[in-house]
Amino acid sequence: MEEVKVGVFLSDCGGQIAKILDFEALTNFVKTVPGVTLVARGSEFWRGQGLQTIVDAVKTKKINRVVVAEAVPKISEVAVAKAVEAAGLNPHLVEVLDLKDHCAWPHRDTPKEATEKAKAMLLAAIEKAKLLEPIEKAEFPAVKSVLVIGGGIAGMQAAEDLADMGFQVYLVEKEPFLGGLAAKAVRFFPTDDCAICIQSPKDLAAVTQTSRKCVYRSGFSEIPNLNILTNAKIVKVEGSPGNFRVTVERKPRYVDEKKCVACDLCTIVCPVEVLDEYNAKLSKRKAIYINKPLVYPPAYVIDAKACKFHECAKCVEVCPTKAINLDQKTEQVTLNVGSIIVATGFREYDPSVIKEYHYGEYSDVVTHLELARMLDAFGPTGGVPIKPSDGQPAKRIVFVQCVGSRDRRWNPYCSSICCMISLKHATMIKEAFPDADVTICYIDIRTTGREHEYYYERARDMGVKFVKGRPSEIVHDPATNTLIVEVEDELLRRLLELEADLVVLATAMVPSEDAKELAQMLGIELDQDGFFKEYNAKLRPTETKRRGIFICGGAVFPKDAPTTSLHAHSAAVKAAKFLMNGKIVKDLKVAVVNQDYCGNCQFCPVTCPYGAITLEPKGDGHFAAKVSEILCEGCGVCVGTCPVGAIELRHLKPSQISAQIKALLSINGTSKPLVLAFSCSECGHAAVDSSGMAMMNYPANVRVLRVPCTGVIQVQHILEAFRAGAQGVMVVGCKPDGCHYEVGSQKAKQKVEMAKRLLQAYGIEPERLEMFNLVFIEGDKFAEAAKTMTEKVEKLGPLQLA
Amino acid sequence: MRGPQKLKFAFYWAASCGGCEIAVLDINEKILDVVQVADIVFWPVAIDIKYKDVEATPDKSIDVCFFNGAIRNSEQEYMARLLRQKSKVLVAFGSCACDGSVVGLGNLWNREKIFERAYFETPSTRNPERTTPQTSLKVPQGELELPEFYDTVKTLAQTVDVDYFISGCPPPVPRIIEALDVILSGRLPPKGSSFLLNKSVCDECPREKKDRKITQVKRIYEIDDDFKTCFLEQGVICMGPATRGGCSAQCLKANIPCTGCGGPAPRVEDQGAAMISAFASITADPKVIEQVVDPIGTFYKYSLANSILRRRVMR
Repeated sequence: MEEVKVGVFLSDCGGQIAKILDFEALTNFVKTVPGVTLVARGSEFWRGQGLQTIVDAVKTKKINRVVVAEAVPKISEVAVAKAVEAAGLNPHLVEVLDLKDHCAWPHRDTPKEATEKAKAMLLAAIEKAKLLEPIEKAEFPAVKSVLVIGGGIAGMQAAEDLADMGFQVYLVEKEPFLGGLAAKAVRFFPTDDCAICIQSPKDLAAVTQTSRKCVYRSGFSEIPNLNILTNAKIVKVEGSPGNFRVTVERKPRYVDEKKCVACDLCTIVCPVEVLDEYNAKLSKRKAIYINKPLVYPPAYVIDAKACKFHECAKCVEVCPTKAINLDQKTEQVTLNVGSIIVATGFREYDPSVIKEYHYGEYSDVVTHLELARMLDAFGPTGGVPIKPSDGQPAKRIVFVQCVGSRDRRWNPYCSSICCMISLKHATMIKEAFPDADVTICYIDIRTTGREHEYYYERARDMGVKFVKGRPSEIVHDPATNTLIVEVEDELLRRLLELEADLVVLATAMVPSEDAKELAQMLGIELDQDGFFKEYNAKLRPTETKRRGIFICGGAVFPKDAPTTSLHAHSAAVKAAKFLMNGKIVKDLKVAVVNQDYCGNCQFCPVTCPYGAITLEPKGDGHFAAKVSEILCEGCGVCVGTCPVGAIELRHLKPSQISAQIKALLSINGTSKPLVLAFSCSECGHAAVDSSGMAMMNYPANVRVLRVPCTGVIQVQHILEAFRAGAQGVMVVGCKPDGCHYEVGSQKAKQKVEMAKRLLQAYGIEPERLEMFNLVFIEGDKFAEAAKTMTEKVEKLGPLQLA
Repeated sequence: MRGPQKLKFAFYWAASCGGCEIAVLDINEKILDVVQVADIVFWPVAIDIKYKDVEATPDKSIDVCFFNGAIRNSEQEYMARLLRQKSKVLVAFGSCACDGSVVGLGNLWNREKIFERAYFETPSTRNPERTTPQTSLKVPQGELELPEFYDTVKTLAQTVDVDYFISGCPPPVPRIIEALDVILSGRLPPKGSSFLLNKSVCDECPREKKDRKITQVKRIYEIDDDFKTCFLEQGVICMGPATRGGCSAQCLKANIPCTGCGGPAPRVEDQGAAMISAFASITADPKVIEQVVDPIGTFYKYSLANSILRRRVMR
């Protein structure tokens, strides 16, 4: 192996920090460290002349490891790495440290101590640099095609975007027709335009003649590169990001979409009538049917549960294009796609479990979706709200909000759109029937979107009545066939009994039925309420922890149409960005298993937040862990779990951690006991940065060792630190639910708790070890923690290890 | 087979229970192969040869010394140094020599505390004169000497340079046979090697691994063992994942969880900390952590003396 030659570049930030740190002493110190072949001091090294110095030293082979003490490590790390790569050195042979924000500024009142700490920091960086190894880039081929699961607003929107961008798109919908929940909704708030327009492409060059807003005149199916598979569901997902193999099962439609001309002859002759689920069972349809007014695909479908098939076969006889094939079988299609977008939406909660509202028992108690079908001019009642019990028009209508939501018995969350749906339906009724008596019983009216409050005001102006209170019971009076809604008006503090012909339950919106199964197949997570969980709500709202798999729309949480659209566009952009180059290029900063040592304990696959670890059969019932290079995010949670040291991070080997522990604690130079702070590279290190940037003070005996995620830290590192002279150990990570690697911070916390118990058994005060969960803006808390920890350890007295 | 010149073997017993000596005999008829090619020149448990005889032999005249037991007192340290000097190859034999083992749990206390317990407090002790072992005592016949009892138990490798290790309490017989075969064949592995396996006990365990979740901590009598599922998943702490294998998971096959006698895995310095890291990482509920009442007894039963911190801090 080539001899290690470390170049150390000390930036004094234009002389600024040289007023605190003794750069001459530092330079002389660094020169004495074995392996260092070049030391340079300058104003800055991450750009300009300074960077050229590094590049020249690399090019002339004077050095093959680079240590840069720079003021803006996050930026300089990238800049220096790029430059040395161009100069012919692997970019991962660079170690950057921050003498300004991590040393000079916070310890400016004790310059001598700061200089001694700077020596320890430099030594740690050099010792780590000596052990750095090149990390290669890997290329994974990516298929430029996308599977979109769910043909509602979100799925159609994302599919259209991606197809327009030139990706091969497969849109899979489990129902026989596209449109999803929204297609049944008649109108959208707050614009009151008709819901069917969601099925139209917006800016499609190929069909410029179509109206931007109406499916009736659209050509969604004519978008190039878009393949629509209705009546289909996902049964198996294999492969890896960029190259998934998805098995789709298509139920038979019994009608050839390409031949059917939607002439309606078949429905006329069909003798079987069943309740129409699309129309909330308020009307009947035939066994061969199509949803009205118009949907995609414009082709009939046979309801296999109702059809008598060859016993009857009248439809086959009349079909003018011979489109009907009663022998069609379920078929499986395998799709090769680079990424997957989940857009499976949400559904109405079944309120029949809420006994006091008697849904399912009193037929005049309906849900919003059922009411929506009545309000559709093409619907079963021609746009008139009726009492399903006797078919008479409903004149007195009471809406009940938060049915099954904001209620710990059923769903604790607010479904966020039901207030607006009730307002929409109430105003639609009032518009068509000004005499109708419409009341909304609410807990809070939540109209938070743009123009939404006007919508509420308009409803009030139109005479919709509002009662603040959650009804306690709906009672049916059989004599008059009237419903009585018992509710306490909280504002007037009196009990009301509202008579109603029709009670509409604004039910909670809950995850689609197959969410759990699908999440399992895709290896992605659901949140506590069962919705698909995003990688990060703030910055990666449509990504999941599994690369290449995206989520959008109501599948993530109930949303109105505009927000769903936005979300779908975001998912489409993310999927496109992921595949646009036809390959995925990645630095292999990943975990790697040495299978000779893997003891088959099978812990790491459970702790990996990315499903990146699988068990490879080794014969005879034995397995060894294997890390997927493409799925691994390099956090090291597996490393922190492995009880046999069989897994290592390529970018932070155990030897590098140990070398840094020893180096950071090898020089004190202060009168205070040494404290080692392990910090994660994300929030933890950011908090350390910000305490320095904000010139907060803490003593120089506190030393920081950066790891990718606190999840990588093992109890042995903590013990090593004590062994190496630390009198106190801090673990600084992200907030448990804000961990950039999902579980790392929480696992670290558990390890710290366990280690505290261990220390106690070792006769060491457990208070010498503490975990802190900080974010960037909590630099003050880091400084405070460092101070408190030092004081606490001072009070405990010196730790004497045998 | 060797030529006419026979190998010279020595066996020694320091702070240990004697089980390792029995394990040597557990190789059964293999002992016949051994004595064909090797003479046992020193074996206090079986042969009457005095320390002074060993002192008198030339340096490096013993080919292989199998040393079991930890270093608890000055006599053991003396013998460790002596045998190192006299032996070409020194093998740390058994958990006590390798990692301190149960003897090493003495590091939770010190001499004073141990004497107090052993010579004053135990219910069966009557010691009104409060007599404790002294290193020297003058009697009319002269001065008597006793070895010094140390505060801290050390492993063999913490005391002298060790060539090979074969851990276990006692070492598993198949591994002893392998070690002997290797030694007799003369194809010695690199210094520092262990004659156990690289993989952990978990790899040899026949029990089924399912969801890999620890939801509670129980003692073995508190569970209704299904004789199939991993002990950890049933709530019983098993050291198998963090323990160097080679024992064919004998205990587990007898439905007893592993307590860790194989010592740390080859790439691990601290067996207890390694298992604690794994345990805390896969524990779904932080409450489980509080259920571990004796972390050192549970996770360091065999390796306290060889752990990073080595012993308890006494005040």
